[in-house]
Amino acid sequence: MSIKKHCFALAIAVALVAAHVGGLWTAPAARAQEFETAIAARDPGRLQSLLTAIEQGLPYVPGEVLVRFKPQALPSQQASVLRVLRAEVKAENSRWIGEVLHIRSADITDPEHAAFLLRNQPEVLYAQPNYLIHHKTVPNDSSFSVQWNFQALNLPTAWDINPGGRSDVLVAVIDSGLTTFDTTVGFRIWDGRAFRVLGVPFAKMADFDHTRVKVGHEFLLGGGWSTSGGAPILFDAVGHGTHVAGTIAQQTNNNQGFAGIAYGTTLLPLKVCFGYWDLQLLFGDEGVPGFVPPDAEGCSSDGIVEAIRYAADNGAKIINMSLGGPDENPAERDALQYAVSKGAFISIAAGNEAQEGNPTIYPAAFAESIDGVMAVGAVNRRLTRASYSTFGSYVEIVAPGGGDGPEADNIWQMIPLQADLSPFLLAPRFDRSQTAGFAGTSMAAPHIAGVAALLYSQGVTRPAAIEQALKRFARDLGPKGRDDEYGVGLVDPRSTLRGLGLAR
Amino acid sequence: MLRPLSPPSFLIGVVVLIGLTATVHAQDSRSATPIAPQSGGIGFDIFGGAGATWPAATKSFKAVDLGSTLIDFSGGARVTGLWSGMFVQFSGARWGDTGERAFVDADGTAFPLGIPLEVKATFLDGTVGFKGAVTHASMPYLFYVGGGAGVVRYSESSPFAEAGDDLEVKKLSYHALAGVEVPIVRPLAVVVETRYRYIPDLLGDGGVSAVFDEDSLGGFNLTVGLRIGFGGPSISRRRSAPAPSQPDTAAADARAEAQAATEPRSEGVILEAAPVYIYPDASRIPLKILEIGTRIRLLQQRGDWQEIQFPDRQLGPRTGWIQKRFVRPIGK
Repeated sequence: MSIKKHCFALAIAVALVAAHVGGLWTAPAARAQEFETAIAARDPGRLQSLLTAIEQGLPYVPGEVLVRFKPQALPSQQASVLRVLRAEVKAENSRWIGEVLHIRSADITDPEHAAFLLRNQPEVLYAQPNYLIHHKTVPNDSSFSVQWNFQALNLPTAWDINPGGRSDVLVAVIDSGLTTFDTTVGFRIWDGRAFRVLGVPFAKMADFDHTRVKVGHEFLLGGGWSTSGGAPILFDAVGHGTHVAGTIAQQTNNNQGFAGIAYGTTLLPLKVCFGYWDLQLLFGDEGVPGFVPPDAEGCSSDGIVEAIRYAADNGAKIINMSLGGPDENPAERDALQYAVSKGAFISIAAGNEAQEGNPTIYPAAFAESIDGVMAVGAVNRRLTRASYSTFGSYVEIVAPGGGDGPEADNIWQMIPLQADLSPFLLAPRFDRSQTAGFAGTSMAAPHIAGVAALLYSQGVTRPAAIEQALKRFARDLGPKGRDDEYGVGLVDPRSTLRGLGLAR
Repeated sequence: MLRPLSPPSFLIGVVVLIGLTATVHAQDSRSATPIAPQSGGIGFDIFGGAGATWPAATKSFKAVDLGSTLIDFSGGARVTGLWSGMFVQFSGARWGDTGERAFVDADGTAFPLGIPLEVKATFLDGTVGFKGAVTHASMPYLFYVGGGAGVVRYSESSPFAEAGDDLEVKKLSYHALAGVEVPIVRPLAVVVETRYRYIPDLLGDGGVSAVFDEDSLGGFNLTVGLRIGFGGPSISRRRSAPAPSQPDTAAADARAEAQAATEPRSEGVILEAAPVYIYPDASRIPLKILEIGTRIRLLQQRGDWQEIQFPDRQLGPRTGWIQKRFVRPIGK
């Protein structure tokens, strides 16, 4: 892990600095008296202490305290004070940093208690453990800086608590798929005059850790593609599913591309939505000549229902559904209830039709009556309701969805290279990628799914409890309390993951 | 589950408890109850020990994986033998524990989140109460009851905190206590004390305690420790409860015995119902309550005490000590 590398480098740097700035262990007025020997700055034990602290998540370096004496404290009094530590303090294990004495000793088994003992001596101005100040875990992904949405949610502080979640937490993305296949295979494709078998190259989608991406499953027209050898071929011919999956679990801290919220969890792409090339290839396979409309796209309810149940039956604990429409579909409601009963939390986009009559959108509208299913509205970069974000009594929470501004204010992730999916090509290709800024409640929902995945990894494993936790710690927006535009407010990952203490 | 008392009713209860105890004590000189009046003058105790606390906010403590039993350390000092056996004490105690932050859902199920939660509480208490002695045939002991108020400093911290996330607060606390001291070697005694503490409004506004609607940080405490006592109520056999005006020294005893030896024997009569003891020690169980008008033989004197020989229907003539004020000599 690059974090470990950073910590190790930090440890070495601290040791090197110590080697250069180490002074004599004596009181300022008493140097060359009883503690005049130079300290051993290069202490291999300190590296181990630092590593121990990092590995154990200690807030301080074990065996170390910092103490500052009152100016009037004589060297003999200082030496006397240090006896409360019941540790031998000598030049080799102590050094002055300005007026502060830095003491290191394996005999200091509890630095907080040692500091407490020191603080209670009248000659001591202050004493403290040698705290480890943690850097916020800002990913090193080259394009993270454009992910304003993650910074608006203060996700780096959430990642300090839970860096990406656990790989055994399976997050299903019911959408347009994700390319998990990486071989060129031939498809029968209509070229305008006849069918030709053309090679279509595939490559596993860039900037995803495919050790944590399951091959997935396709639910278009009852089944998906496979090779002659039986290997399933899953690909995203739209980009939407890839974008959504990226927000949830894009590979992070890999020095390229974007970050994902629950980048340590495992993705299960389930393809229920299609684009132009999905249909065109299917038609070719069926021997139907001609071209489908260039803007052909959609998601069939049967595929959605099947995918929901498939996800639940195959161990998905979090399901994201960035799709919906104005038609109420009880089958979807039942599937949602089934998935929740199997222990899956579901995040659903509230809809993008606020400016088109603001109809009730399903399956989002089912969320209101199912604990463990949440309808997610969108806010823009100003953290006000995005103009498109459908609102109503079923909106339960909001997350960044982008829009309402320049392109930079959209939600940015990796998608398949759109030029390769043009309907005007003879054949598509699925082996290249690009960055893209999308806007919509489709982009907001995976934020909730991602945080839910972190929360599940953290130990909140009941769908209803996940919903309650997300609501409990949300940051209220709009009118005080719950409202139809923002629900309970903006998801607050850090507070949610940090949970509750006894009194606060 | 026990519901915490409100501060007024709690304090009233403490006052009533002390009053009842003092009443029993006041009546004791005219009855044969084992509770004896004090006669040791003002004394001073210091004490310390370790104990266990069972928090009242049990659900909250359990939810964040804090122990249902907290180990605490305590100590203090007490001035005893004030008016009518009352005492005043100041004591401190401290406990701390590390649990785990959690989320609690609507069903009350706690989901631990793997984030350490460190809680610490330091108590400073002032207590008034009554301390008395009980002589038992096989094990004499002292007891005390009291109540009071104090201040608790409570802190709660966890990693990944931002400004305002951690908590450090001071609140008023109220308590009632009762304890027993069993002498080992003068002036040392083993102390067993139980205390109930009520600390309103510290919990319940946030955290899991708000979910469970538990607002008191208090609870029951049982402490075992040692007491070192100087003066005051005592049940030592030889010189534990001398008469107030009698110097508690061997020399004084010798003088009294010498004086008694020189005095001729005489008789007397009991002026009112009065206890007679085996030693000149009012903290002991009386041998008998002599009725008014009982004729007695006067033996030796020691301070305010008179050794007598008195009649006993079952056992015949017996000797014992009675306070002089209950006796009127009637000649040789």
